[in-house]
Amino acid sequence: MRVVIVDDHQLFRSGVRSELAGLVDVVADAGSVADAIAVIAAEKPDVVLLDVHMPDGGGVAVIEALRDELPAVQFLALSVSDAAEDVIAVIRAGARGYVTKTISGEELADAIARVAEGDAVFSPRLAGFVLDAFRGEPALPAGTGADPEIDQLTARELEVLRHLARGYLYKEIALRLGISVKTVEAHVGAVLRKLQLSNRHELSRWAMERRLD
Amino acid sequence: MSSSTAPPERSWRHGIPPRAKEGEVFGGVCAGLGRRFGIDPLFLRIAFVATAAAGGAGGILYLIAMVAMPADDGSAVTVRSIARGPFSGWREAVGIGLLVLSLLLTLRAFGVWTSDVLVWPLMLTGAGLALLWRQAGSRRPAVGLRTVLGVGLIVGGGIAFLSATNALGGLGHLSLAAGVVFVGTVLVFGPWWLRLSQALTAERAARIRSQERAEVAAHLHDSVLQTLALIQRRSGDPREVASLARQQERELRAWLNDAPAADAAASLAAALHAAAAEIERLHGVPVEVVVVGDCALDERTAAMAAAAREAMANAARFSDAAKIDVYAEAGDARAEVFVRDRGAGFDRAAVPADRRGLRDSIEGRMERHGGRAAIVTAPGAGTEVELTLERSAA
Repeated sequence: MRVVIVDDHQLFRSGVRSELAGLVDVVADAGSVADAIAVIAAEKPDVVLLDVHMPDGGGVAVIEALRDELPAVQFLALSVSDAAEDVIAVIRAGARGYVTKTISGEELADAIARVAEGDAVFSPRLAGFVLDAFRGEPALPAGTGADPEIDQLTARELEVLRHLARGYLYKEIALRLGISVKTVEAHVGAVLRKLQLSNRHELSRWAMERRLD
Repeated sequence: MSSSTAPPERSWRHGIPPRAKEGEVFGGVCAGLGRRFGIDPLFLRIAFVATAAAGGAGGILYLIAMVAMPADDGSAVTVRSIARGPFSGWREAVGIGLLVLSLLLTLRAFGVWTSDVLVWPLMLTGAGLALLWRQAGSRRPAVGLRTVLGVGLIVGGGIAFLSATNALGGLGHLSLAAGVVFVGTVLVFGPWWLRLSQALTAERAARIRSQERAEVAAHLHDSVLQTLALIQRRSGDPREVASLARQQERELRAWLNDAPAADAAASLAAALHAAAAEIERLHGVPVEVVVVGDCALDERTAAMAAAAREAMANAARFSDAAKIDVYAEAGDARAEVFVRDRGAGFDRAAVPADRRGLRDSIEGRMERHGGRAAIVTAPGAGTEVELTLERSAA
């Protein structure tokens, strides 16, 4: 599994590199948006660990520059930021997941493997944001182009998300709900898709706040 | 001049001759025509000036030619270029002025006209205004030839208007005179006033910025720098260092997210965050809190927060887990809190009867307030404490 680390802090890049040593193959790292775009285009890694906050547009700029050109490259956002608008913006740009920088080495390697297979990775915090965003009725009434399929989560998806927010792993969720791990993955994937496509008021608002600063 | 230029191209032989940039005196019209027809442009110039002096036809013709003929370098004086661009110089400005003048004269000759009294002073004032207000946008010092000319034109326009209406003669028109002077003053000083107010706004913004900067600096000094100093002094104790870093991180996050200074009495979410911070400080185990929704802190939800705090404390003390996850979902109808660790777990049946924490502080407390507590655990499987409170049932 080939991984590129993108973060504007040299110290953090080398820290993640050493933590991931032996678990995945870190082929390159980059410290700026422009470097990242060049390095990723050259290396074509399986997964990019992407910092949300960087000068010149941050992780969102990297994803937007590359997602059409390199659809096979998966992005996993890695951030110290807790702000919903930052996290939602990078997910909506196309990242397959979001984890916080305090994650342990093994957990990170696990998340990378999951993302490389096209699955989604939600930290408890991201799950919380999503639950917050999808609470209650969709903001847009019927007939205004709102798609209830996309603007609302199913009962099962909500249940899976709640378990993620409580800190459960996929296999633990599968055990508790009496479904297979594949089914849990499918639910999380569906939530990710809705998160990227839905026009729910909260999501738009978060995205808007991100654009304004 | 014309004879010395490069070999003629097709466009010079056919269609409208271009104005010549090379050898131009005013707009390059004479030079261009001279080059096309092989005449010395000097003769053409004399002809234009003579006809212009005797009745104005030459001037008008020249201006029409200037607009109609393309420049040989591709740039053209067109209505569009005049409207769009900053004037390249006095020559163009004079050209435009003459063009407008000829248009007005033509209109006047055809009788499409209101009165001399109105139009000419208006023209003068308008020209003066154009000069003044264009300058107001620039950052250069205001005093200059342009300004003098602009003020002169406006004053001249005013005087022309007043004298034409005989307002200067009779006292009866005093109010009109005063009005004209007032309008003139506003027009003359308007640009400076505008610039002054813009400068004031900019200054205020800069002051606010520097105040904010000072505030950020003060905050970082009190919090982050203090913690870093503490960490350096206790670098021998990794647990303490981790706990300090964690505590500082929490504070900084709350500050960055603009959360009001942790008022634990405000809401369930705030109370849970405060409890988590306290447990982290006491036991050095990170507590990750995720809250969806929120609700006010009344007697019952306060009891719930206290029970959750007890669950966190238990997890921190006994489970040996690396971290504790707290998830809360609160709304008007119900509130739920889950405290989970991935630690040792335990066998409920094996808990000594005198260990009352679980029984009293968590389950008993929830039941007294009409809620429920469920504890899911087994040796080696970690522990989860689930607290539920139906709020609408109260």
